[in-house]
Amino acid sequence: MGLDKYILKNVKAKIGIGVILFFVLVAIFAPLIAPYDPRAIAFIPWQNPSFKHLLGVNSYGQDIFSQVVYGTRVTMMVGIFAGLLTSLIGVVVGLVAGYKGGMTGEVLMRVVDVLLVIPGLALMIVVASYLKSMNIANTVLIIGALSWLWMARSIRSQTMTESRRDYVDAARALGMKDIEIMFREILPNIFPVVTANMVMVITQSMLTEASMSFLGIGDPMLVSWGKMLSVAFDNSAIIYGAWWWLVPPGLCIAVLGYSFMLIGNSFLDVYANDRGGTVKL
Amino acid sequence: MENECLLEVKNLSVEYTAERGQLKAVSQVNFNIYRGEFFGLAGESGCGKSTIAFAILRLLKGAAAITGGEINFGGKNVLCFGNEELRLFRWAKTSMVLQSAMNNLNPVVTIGSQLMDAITAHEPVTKKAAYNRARELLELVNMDASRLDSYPHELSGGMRQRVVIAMAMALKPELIVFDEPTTALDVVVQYNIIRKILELKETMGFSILFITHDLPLMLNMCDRIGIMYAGKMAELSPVETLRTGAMHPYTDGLLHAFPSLQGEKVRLSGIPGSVPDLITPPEGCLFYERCAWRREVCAKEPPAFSVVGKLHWCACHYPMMERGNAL
Amino acid sequence: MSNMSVSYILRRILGALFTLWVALTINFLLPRVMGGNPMDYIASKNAMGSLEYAQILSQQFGLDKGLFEQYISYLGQLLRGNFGISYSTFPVPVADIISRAIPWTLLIVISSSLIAFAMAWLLGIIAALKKGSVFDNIVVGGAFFIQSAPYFFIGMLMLMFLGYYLKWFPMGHALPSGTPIGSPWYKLIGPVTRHAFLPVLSLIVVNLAGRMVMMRSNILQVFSEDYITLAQAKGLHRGKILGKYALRNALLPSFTGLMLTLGSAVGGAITTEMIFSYPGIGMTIMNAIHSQDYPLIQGCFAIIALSVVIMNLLADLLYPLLDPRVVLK
Repeated sequence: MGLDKYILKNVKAKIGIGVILFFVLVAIFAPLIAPYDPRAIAFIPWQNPSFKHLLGVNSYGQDIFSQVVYGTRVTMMVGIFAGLLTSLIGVVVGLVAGYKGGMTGEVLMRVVDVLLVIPGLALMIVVASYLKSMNIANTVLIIGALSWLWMARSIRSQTMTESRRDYVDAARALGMKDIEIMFREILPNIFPVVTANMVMVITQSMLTEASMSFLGIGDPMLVSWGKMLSVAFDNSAIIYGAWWWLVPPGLCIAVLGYSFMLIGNSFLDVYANDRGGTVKL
Repeated sequence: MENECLLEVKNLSVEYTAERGQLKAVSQVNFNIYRGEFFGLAGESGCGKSTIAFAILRLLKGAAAITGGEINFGGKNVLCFGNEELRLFRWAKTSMVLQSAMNNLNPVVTIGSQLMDAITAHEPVTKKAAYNRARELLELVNMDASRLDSYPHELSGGMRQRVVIAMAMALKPELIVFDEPTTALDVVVQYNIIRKILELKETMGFSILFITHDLPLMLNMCDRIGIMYAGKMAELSPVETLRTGAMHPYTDGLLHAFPSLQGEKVRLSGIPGSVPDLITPPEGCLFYERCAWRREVCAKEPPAFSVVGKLHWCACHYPMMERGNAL
Repeated sequence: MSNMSVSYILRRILGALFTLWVALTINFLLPRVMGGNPMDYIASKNAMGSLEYAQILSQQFGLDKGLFEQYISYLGQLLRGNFGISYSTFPVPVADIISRAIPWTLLIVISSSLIAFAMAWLLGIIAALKKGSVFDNIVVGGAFFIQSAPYFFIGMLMLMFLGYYLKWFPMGHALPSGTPIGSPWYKLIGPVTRHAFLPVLSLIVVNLAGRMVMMRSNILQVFSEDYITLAQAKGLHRGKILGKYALRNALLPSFTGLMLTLGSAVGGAITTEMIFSYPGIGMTIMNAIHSQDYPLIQGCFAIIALSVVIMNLLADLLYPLLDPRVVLK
């Protein structure tokens, strides 16, 4: 797949991967890095950052720095797993709709269009309030089940373009079955687009998780960056001027999300260059 | 050929910046085009002929840059033109017809409007006058005036090519550059278009620089032909001379590589090997690896482009006349 | 209009109606699927949890009838413009609540969309023309970074710095509390603008980022097309090439995007309204969900679905007018 082109020579991708690795390490070694239990209500609330509390203490009396460190785990896990789930559904639907075309394609896209009419966030809120308990698994499922629409569209249009190329005709002439053609011939060729989409979907999933936490759904016991922002807001952190509570988690989401996007975009650039020009997602 | 010299290409060199280094797409090419002449530039893909065409109108983009030489039109060096001078020069003195007209026409603007744009950019005419001229141009290529309001996608490939040809004549230029205008079309359409081009040349008197890889086609149309190989001009001669007295081994190979529709079935011969790397070209003659008549000196010294007959130049250390080969 | 036939228009309208019907049906089913019994909830709020009270309410709202009967009467009422009566603020009709909330949402979303679109245009064109320059890199890098940040984070930052620290703008709501009801509209323009500024600004920043990048790449792609080369060869003026040849082609794809954004305008500002306590549809939905107010939830969703479907329909009908290449079967 051109490991060389896509990774080794790709400065943007390397930076992105570097940042992600950093956060992965933080997530893995959280217990060693965080000075306190993130949920321990043990300190005087509303403290400014100090040596004992690098990012201060929140309104409940919890150490913010520890929360940020442990939050890495949740945010990354939800982002990555939900992103993968979304990608799985999106790729399968997109491939089938794009390759088969005709009736199947039309019907699938119709379904996608109709589902897109419903405001995603609101839908998630409603569905989530139906579920009795929220945990990471549910969060991942909800995000995955409702976010695949755009990806399906994108993969479908790429698949349609690829299906017209000669090697697909050749494969058909060889007697390859449709499923084989879709997954063994076309998919590897559009893999960079899939990856580019995937990383953006991961970023999106992290943002969606943050939004869900913010709006009051999501596991109340979870310490994620989004949850931190939500709690901060609910506890009037703004009026307290507690920037040290608000800025770190938000910034972390932005940086992590940005590094995923760096990877995705640089992949797209290389892919487009190979195809002589720009490629529409 | 005592006519006035319209275009003088002198020692033209063009390089493309690639990852590995500079690609020498065109190296020290020399040729002239005279008034009323049908000049052909032939060679395989990648030999630099299209690059030259774009260089004449200074349309090279991106990684390409003209690194040396002059392009003299009417005595003035186009490469030294300022922006406005260049804008006025373009289309009025020299115009182009490109390959694959579909991509060359703005898809969301009508044909008529695009024709009129060419006119109004250079001459202060009213919209009505421009519209009428556009209509006349279409008539020249046997197209109905109603087509003025059509969009490019509504026309067939042949019609689009005719529109593009009509557009090229809008300002009655002295030279029209045709870059593979018929390569993407089927043979019958090709025949009609070529015939139309010849007709128009007679009536309007422009010179033609015709670029193609289809040598037999050119042998039937051109007055003089230049054969390009790997960015250099291998041979330049009047058509009759080329047919019977081609001197460069490459030209010889080319002529034998095309099958003939008539006459006996002759065994085709190709030219073994492939074009050399133009980023790190070999010393000596670029055709060395593939030449059946190479000698030692060919590997060490590049041959000079020198006169070998009347209006006949060749870049070879041992042109075929000396070898005593008759074709 | 040569490429649009009556049959195309009809089919599009039928398609839109179908989508609308599906959305409304899902709309109907959802709250019921949510579980819980809103009647008990209301009874517990108003009547000490009296079972009888709950039962009478059920009868009144028709909740004791079968699901299918409820569905039919639901559709029938909608067709007559009757969105029902809100459970949580009984006996206020849902339509009233929605019509009070919608203008606020429309105000911030439409103004931010239009401004964001225009700015994205400008910045995208400039960035494309200056491709590879410092300006370009900063603008594009910045746009991606903004897209990676959670929207409400940006909103909160604005609230904190512009609202709390600098005190330039109010911290929430659409009007200053204590504004007399029935004030003449011209007196309200100032306060409304000041209160809407931060929400609109935050929406602009976030929308601008994505759209600008798209615009820039559209333009770059068009610049590389052959017809631009030919336009230059024809000796056309730079301005004409940019306008008639480049931009006209580059803008087409984003037109659809704009229409879709306007379509999701009504449902698209939930988070914004939460942060800025802005009394639009978003806040209404959130409150409705928390108080299990079926009719209100349904009413809001219905309005959202309606606006999305209408804008999609308009986009479908208007786009062929702009792009002559579209071949409609």
